[in-house]
Amino acid sequence: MSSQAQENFLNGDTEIKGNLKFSNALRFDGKIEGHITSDGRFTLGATGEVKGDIQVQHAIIEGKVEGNINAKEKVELKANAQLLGDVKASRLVIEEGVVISGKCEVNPEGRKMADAFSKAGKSGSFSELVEKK
Amino acid sequence: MTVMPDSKPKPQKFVGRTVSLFCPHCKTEQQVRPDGVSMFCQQCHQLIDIQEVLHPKTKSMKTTVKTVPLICPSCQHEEQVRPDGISVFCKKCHNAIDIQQTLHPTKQTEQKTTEVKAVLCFRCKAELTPSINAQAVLCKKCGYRNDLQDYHVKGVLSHDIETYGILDVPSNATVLNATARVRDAMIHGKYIGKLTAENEIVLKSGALFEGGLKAYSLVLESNAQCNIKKEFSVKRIVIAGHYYGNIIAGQFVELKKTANFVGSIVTQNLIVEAGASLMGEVKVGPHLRENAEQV
Repeated sequence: MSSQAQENFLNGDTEIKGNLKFSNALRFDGKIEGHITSDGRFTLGATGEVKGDIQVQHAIIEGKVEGNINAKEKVELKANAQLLGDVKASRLVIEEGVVISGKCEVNPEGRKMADAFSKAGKSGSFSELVEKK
Repeated sequence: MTVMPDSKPKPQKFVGRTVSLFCPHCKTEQQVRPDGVSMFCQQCHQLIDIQEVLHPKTKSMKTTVKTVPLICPSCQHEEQVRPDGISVFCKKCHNAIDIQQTLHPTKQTEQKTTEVKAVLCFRCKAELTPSINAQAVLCKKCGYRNDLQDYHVKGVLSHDIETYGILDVPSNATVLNATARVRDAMIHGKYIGKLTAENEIVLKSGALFEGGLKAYSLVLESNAQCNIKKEFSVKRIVIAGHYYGNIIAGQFVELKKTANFVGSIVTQNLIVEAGASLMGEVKVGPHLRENAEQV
């Protein structure tokens, strides 16, 4: 893979069976059976299909993913994207028309709020949250 | 033989002012009291209205009445009618004519239209059409009294409410262990119980909701908290505050950038803005329409 700052591109004719690792940015419109790993940005085109996990800095999904997505920064699911798996990221953007089935773990402000909220839910009242505020 | 005097009292002579009056029939002069009402002419024996003869101006004033032309709507015959009259019979076709409606048709039709709204009886679901300003309506089918007025809670409310109006819970008010069934609800304060709205529920900033919820639309503003423990059924949801519970929405769920969501989501459409916090299971897609609408 090229180490230049420009986005790399694999068109819809590409079929990969195996793991894919790259740096910077990659736009993928083909089919891959394997895991995708990067510290950069991964864009799955509308015709793209991924069967495996995606672990990147920033993921933009327009196609179909059967696997989990783990992004350090942001995951964007564009219209007509399909995700059958879990999402874990600091920020999540979902457009109208997306099909998802899985768990989401998105907490841009850190886990403090989510933990406190969970505790309040278990205890059965909001008194803890209100008093702490 | 002694003759007894006549026992009948002698007529007294009128001692007072009299005026001359000419009989309107035979023109003979009569002497009458000026405050008299009527008398018979001594010549022709006709009844004379003293006041009318003495003060003819009053009589002529009485007979002078302003009339306006009115066209009969049936036969187009012109009638002269008093402008303040109610009704009259046409002299040609003998149909009754509503004078006010014929003279002022626009005003009459405007007054007759009353705006109504359609509601269903809470008990038997019969269609009712009360006036928009009505406070309540009795069902013609089952006789149940359906409340239509708005409720503004002051202090603490602990009894059930059932109305087609709006429920407003201010920031210093609380609804505690109550079941409310309303058209729209605006919650600024605390609500613990079950809430059903025909249209929309809005949880304003600072609001606290705990219990069951059923509505067409739910809006959770920033800093509002919602803890769903019982049933939940909403078709369209917009969350900008804190939400704990499961969502089964028929159509649409939107998480704004200030949203904090903990729970599961099952819906046809999901929109998540950058910045929203989401922890839980998510199932989104048009294929979920049947499952979602069954709720």
